[in-house]
Amino acid sequence: MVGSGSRRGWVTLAMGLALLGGCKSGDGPAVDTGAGFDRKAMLDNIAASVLAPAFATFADRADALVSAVTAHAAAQGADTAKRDAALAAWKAATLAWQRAEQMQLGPSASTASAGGEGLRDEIYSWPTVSACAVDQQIVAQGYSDPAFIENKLVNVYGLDALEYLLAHAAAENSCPSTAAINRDGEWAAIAAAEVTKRRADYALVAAQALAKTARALADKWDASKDNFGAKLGGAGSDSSPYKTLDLAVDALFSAMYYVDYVVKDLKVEIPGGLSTNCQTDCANQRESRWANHSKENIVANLEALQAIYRGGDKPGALGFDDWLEARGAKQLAADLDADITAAIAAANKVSPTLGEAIANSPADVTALQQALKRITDKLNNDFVVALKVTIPPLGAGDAD
Amino acid sequence: MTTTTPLRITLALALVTLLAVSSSGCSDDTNSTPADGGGDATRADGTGADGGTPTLPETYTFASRFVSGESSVVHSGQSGRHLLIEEIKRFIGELTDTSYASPKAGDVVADLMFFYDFKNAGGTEGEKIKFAPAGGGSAKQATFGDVGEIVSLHEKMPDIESVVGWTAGTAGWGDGSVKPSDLVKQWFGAVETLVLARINDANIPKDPSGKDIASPYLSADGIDYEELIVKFLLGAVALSQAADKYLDDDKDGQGLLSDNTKAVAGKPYTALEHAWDEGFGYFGAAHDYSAYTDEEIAGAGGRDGYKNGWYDSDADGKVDLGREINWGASVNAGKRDLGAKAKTDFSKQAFEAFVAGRHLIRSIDGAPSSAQLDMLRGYRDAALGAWEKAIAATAVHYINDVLQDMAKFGNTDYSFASHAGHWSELKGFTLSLQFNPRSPLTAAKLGELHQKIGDKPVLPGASNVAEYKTALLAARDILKDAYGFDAQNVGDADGNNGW
Repeated sequence: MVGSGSRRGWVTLAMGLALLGGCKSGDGPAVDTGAGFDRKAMLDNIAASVLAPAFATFADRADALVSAVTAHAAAQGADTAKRDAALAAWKAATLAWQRAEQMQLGPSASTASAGGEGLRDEIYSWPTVSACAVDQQIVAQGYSDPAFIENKLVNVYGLDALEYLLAHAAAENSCPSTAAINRDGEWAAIAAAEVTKRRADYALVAAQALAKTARALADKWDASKDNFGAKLGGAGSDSSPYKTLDLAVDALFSAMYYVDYVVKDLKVEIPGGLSTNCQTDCANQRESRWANHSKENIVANLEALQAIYRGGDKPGALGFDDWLEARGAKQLAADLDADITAAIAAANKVSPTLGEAIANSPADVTALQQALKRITDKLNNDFVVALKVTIPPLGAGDAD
Repeated sequence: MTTTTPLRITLALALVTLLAVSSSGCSDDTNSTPADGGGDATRADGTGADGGTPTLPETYTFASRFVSGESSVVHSGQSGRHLLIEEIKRFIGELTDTSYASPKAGDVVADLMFFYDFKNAGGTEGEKIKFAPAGGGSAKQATFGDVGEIVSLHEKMPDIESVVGWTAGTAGWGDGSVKPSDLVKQWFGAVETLVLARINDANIPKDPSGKDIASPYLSADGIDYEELIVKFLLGAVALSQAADKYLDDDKDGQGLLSDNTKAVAGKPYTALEHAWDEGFGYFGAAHDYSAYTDEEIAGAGGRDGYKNGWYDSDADGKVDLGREINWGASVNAGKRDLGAKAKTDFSKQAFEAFVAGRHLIRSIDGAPSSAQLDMLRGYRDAALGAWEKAIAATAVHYINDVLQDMAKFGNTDYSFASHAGHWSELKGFTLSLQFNPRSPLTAAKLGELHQKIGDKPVLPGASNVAEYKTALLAARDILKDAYGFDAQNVGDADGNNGW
């Protein structure tokens, strides 16, 4: 039950998900629940073919984002074409990161999980975001402090803050009238051109920090460097944070579970008005409110899920579908793959943006939710029964 | 509760086990709860119906003497208050810098008062319960009306003039004579001050390293108001109401001196039966608590179906928040038993005493004799004693956590948020120790304990780190001596190797 907890601090999405892998109790000597299937080979393949490349791609696109934002800032934010280019670079980087969102294990996951270093929130902290907090930093010019990234909360930097800084060009800020920047006239006292310039300068600081973290994360997965993939597949060895192969598999399964807690629940059901957990202003709780990139994000999430499930796209590559088949669940393996494909199609059918679809074609949003639910129903039931993996709990438990 | 031995025990054995530290544990029996918990009737002389030694029911289940086929166990008000404490915990824990679009003075306090004084603050039967059983459990009750009574925490706060342990003049808390209820309101105000400063003024408190503090309910001086408030309420409402009212025997017609000769009008129980049930309800144990292992009570693992701290005893697919889940102190008892280096069984002792006392009341046809009342007092003392020991042991656990946190000062693995959380739980639990009138912790020792713990943690960079560690060790010794804890459970000078 409840009680109290030292699950203190910024209880972030990453933390909630990342704790998942460490929750299985029976971590004694490894028991081969693979039933003859080579799970280590599957983990090795997924790490090398899907996970590591995703982090490397993101690092490259984060570098490209820095270049585009540098040009944008050099123009003091006033060149629309350069701002558009910077926003396009943000979208490219975000598409890459949204694949990695579905891969929260190891270094990107919470420090409370096996091998976790908490890098995910440094890169992208949604739903822990605050446009007002970003505006407050624009007024204070806090981003000019060399220790800004180190000392400030994750909701004022990363891809989420960059989205607001690059996509929100209006003169207004997002703070309430009670906030000092409005109440005391601080925002109004700044000329519009200066606001534009500060947004661009701030974006450059955030982009540079992002690229640095992205590269560090990519290096941790790079087979020629830290090679975390070897630690995943090497569960049980002294160099691996996973004591058993079961725990390593559970960590990956927990990452896949993002499709349930986050994609279905937070990205679709809440903004779509399909959850009792939201009563008012639900549509504005969509993931990408400023750049209207929510639909594309969901598609990227699902494509990454399918890549993990299939073990990549190389012929014969081992994935969870192969494991299911080895367990005699061939029909389930095919059905789940078809469900993911169908969900991707349903997401693409949402048009032109999630926000507009919520307003104008809600049936498409409901169809997407139902397509996602078909996936999560299978994951929660037949999948865990067949593979004996552990359904991750929501967030951390109480510690007292 | 760790063994696989069935719990069916004799009253005589129960007395022995209740009044001494037992090393046995609870059953792993997973049988569903019977309509009545079983057991033989107890005669007025304490023997069984056949003149031999009576057996106790395995569960806290007692059929009505007055209404055929109906249970006489009702504690919906207590379940409702445990839920309200959970709602306060959830509400504070979910606060973020975007929780309020445009907050004004009074907004946050009003939202907290809604749960604190639910019954008198606009709470209705239709109010949806947001609390969800761990591990994806589905609650049987969807609204507070489904739980039963619409209740208030505020109106159940102890009517004492001053909380011992919150020093006058520190942290702006009045003149040192703050009542428990007002103290909670002051803490709500402190949360609001933090929230408004963050959202309206971009005034984010900084931790000792200069980093912005993430949680709105966490102050720069290391007070985690979520933990402080919730743990204080578990003592000021749950323990206090049980120890000082429902299980007390200082007022005619109340608590153990309640009537047991007839049913309360329109109810299936006597006033004495109900008083005992209300005390049990505040302890918070599931009715088949004895079927859980310590690990399961703690929600730390165990069998499917039990491992999240609840069990669907009637197999209806839902978790009955009134009798199929463990709340509050009953969870702490299991956690401490689980973490004990030298075996303890607070969970078993408390539950068996509650069952034995209720069984005795159920078996008496009329007013208890003097001897029966003495026996009932014995069960009461055993139940509350184990309950309070679980709280005190949890305080020892948090002293150890704080010592471990302080050992990390200057290291990269130091966490300000964890440190603040641990200290605030320590403070909340130790403030709770003043609410049992029969506490083995004397008033003098209670005051001494709080002088050593202080009103806020000592943070990195402070000049009195070594002195404070020494004070915490002394505080731990006060608890060890007052409650007779085994030295093995208390831990070493670094806060390791104990609870």
